[in-house]
Amino acid sequence: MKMFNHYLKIAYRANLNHKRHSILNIFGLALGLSAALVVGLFVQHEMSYDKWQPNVDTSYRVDLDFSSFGFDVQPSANLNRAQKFKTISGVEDVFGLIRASDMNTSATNVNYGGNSFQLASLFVATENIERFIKLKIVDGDISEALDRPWQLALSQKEATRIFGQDKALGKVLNTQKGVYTVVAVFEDLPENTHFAFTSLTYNDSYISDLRTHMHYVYVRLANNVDLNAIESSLSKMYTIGDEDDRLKVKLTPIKDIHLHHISELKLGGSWETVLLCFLLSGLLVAVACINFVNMSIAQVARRAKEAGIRKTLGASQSQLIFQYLLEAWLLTAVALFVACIFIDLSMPFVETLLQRKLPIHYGLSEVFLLFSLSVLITLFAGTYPAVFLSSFSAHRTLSGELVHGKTAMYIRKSLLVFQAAISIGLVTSILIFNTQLKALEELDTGFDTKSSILVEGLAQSAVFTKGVSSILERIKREDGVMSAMPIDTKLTDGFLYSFELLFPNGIQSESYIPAIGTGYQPVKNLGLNLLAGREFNVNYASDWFQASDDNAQASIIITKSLALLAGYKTPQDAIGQTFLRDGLNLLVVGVVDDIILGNNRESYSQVLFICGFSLSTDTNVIVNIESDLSILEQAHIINKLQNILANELEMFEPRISLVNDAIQNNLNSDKRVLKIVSLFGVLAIVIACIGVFGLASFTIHQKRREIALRKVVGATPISIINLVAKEFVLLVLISAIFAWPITFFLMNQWLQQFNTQINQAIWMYLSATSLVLAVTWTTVTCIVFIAAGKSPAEVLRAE
Amino acid sequence: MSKMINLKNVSRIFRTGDIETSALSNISFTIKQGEFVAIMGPSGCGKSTLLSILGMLDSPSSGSYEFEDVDIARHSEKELASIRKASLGFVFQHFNLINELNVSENVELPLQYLKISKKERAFRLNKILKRVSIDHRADHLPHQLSGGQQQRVAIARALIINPILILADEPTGNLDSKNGEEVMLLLKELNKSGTTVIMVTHSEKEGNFADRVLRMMDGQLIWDRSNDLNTPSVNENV
Repeated sequence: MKMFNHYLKIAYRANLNHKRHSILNIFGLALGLSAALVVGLFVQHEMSYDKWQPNVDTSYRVDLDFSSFGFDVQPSANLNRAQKFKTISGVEDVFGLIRASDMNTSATNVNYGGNSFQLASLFVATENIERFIKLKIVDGDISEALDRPWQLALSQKEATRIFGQDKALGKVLNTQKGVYTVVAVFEDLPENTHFAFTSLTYNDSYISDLRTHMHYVYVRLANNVDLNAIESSLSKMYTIGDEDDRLKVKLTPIKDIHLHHISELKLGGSWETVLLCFLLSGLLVAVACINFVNMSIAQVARRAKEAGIRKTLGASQSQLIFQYLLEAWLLTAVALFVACIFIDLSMPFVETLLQRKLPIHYGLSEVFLLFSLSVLITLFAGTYPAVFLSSFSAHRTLSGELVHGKTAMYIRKSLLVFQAAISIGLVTSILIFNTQLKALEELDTGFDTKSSILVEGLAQSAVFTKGVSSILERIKREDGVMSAMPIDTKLTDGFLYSFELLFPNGIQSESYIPAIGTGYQPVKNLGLNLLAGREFNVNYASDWFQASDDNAQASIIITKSLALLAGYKTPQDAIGQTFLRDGLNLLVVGVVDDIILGNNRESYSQVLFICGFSLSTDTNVIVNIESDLSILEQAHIINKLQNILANELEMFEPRISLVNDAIQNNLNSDKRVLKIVSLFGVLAIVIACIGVFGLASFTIHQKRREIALRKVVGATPISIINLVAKEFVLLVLISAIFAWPITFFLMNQWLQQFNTQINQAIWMYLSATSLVLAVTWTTVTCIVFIAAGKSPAEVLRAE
Repeated sequence: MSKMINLKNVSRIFRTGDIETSALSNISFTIKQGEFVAIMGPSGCGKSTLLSILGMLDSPSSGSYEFEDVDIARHSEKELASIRKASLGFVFQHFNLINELNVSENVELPLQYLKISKKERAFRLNKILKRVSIDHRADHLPHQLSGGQQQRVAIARALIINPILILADEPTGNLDSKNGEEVMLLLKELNKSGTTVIMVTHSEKEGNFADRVLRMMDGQLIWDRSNDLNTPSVNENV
């Protein structure tokens, strides 16, 4: 205990006497640790999603696997069909959520106290909800909301939004078709769940629907069941009538949804992002610890003498190791404290960057964790310097000889190479990320919607009509509006439905072709490039979908690659041809250039537009506005559209957005990754600079006599700089040999996920290496200037 | 006086890469308890190397070294440290105080490694600081002291363990003549009270303080004479 106090005292005084080194050491370590801790919080948060739900280990979401049809797994199914699953041994319960706006948009528009609201996250739920989702009921009884129609359960936030500070229980909300009564209020769902509803109700007609596959269905299984066997049984049971039995049911564990699977209820997480953050923070901590080692070694000249004195006075090597480890722990503890301050200060920025709320608590367990981390870091970063410093011969250090082995120098140089390689890799990645994102932003999607507004979720009957639609006419009369057209698909989201086609040459399409239902003039309204034929035109009566007892037909416009698929060498050859789909005759009237339907990872170019036909229950309207409008003028038009919808359709708080924003939003998650990598890249370079500073300090101390002598015989400052810097330049060049192939491989893997990929150009690698070289050379130059300022006589006399 | 140190054919060779340097070559002598021995010779003759071996800071490459009748030539570093901290006191030319510790803390440091109780440490500290007349600077840091004061602190640190042997390597090398004289008188006084002193010096004046002089040249012992003309040569063979 006595020696412990002594060591603490001397550690404190030693660091105080050499503030610059101590501050740099603490700062570098704190930067690395703060990034690691934030990532730790983020990873912990991401991995906590839904783990707290009841019986989560045996709860699964029912997904539909369309891979046999050329599409991906869909995270939804049909609830009514899934209810039969309870008859299968091993299936204990079935629960479902149905987004009300998917079935009928008007069901979500409510009035209270003269104000109109849209219950955007209103879901119909089965009454066994509490067996699958942990809900905290604040007021009322939730089972009342879910066992009869026109009863409502609201989240606290939603209740406050509509009723203010008034008690919500018992209040009524009017809709076009009926009156809701609020019978329960529940606490807002926490962030760490993939479920995202703010109001719940019951609706028998939704639940009993057998056609749609857009319900969110969950099952509870018994323990220790054979999952594959259950999936097989469910698949057999799911398809009805003569439906294609290639459709398979897949069970996705609820606790894995957020990070590993698609979630349509709210924006999911990304396992790749979590892994990337984990890896980057690990690299950053490694860089920071390397710094610590190098900075400690840089002070070896001063500490070596003390080690010699202590050994002379009777200290054993293990006592010295303990002393230096304790000093390292003290620095680490201070660095951790500073890291916590960094985290507190930067948390708003971090939460915006990661789009997550990351609450911080400093309870007993957290303090214990931090303490354990400080010990781990101490052992990881402090052991080598402690052993190194304690191994000096007392005799030699006291006589002025600084003993250092070649091994020690190799280790320190290797660490610097590792640091530089990480920096080069990160900077190169930033350049590649940036270039790829720019390419995606400028990608030609095949449709031109720079001046387009999308209004979502309108009732089909209001706008998707062969005759004149009063709503559309009303919209077109607004100042600044050029045209308006109904369309059932958001082009940036992918497709809602697809057709299996029989081509005139008798060949059946191997995969299902995405179909988009539109009104007249999609080429003009969507900015498509017409290669052959014509638009859908109101003057052609046969264009609009029509069905009689024995015949159904509609005109279609197809993309160039679909024409090719159908066996037509030129677009013109396809004009006038008729494709068949389940009794529906589809007359090709136009061929357009290929479009990119979907996002940058999952997209389709073989697409058809069908006039006046839709399998969707609601629709959207695309409104083209003048191209030179300011943001204020655009906002004014949007405001006008909101008023029209409120007045004409009693639609409140509709979803209206600029189409271009949606295209940019598709890149949001990649932009976020770019920001994260850039941030880590900058941190790594800053920390590596500190490391170069430490190692250069040591090198200059070693070469102090040589520098002094060179100055005496007339060396210029530049030649002295190069004397020291050339070693570091060589180390950075060596690090490039490792960094380049590893970075190339990793970035290649990342680029594979995009349909459109850039080439990794050599200039990116050269630029990154040059930047790291420049930073290293500048750092060394600064230190040499300081050292070279000393009078040679002073240095040589001290020797 | 009983034998304290007995060196027989001690050699020390340093290897740096392919180069071998013979610092000491077949050194043999005996030192009795209570002697004051000066080791003298030109720069590079091996006297500091010899002192390091005598002080158990280094081990000979060959030969035997008996300390109080125990051959310690092949002792491990741990064993040497154990003997060193209990029995030997060191005084260096450059003082070698720890800059972060004040006078009291520097002086009592050896007692901490010996795990002496706080009460005993305080008692000895007080006594020794008064003895070397540095008690009025007990809370000062080394850089706040003059060269002479620093050397007195170093001597106090060497004495606090009540050593049976003091090894001094050019103890006045960094001091002016007045302070140097004071240090030598202190060492002489210690010797008179029974402590064996071995001192390396190149100063004839300081050499005269010793009872016996060992002269070295090129790693070999060339002279071993008593300073008292009435006392026969200790080593007739040199």
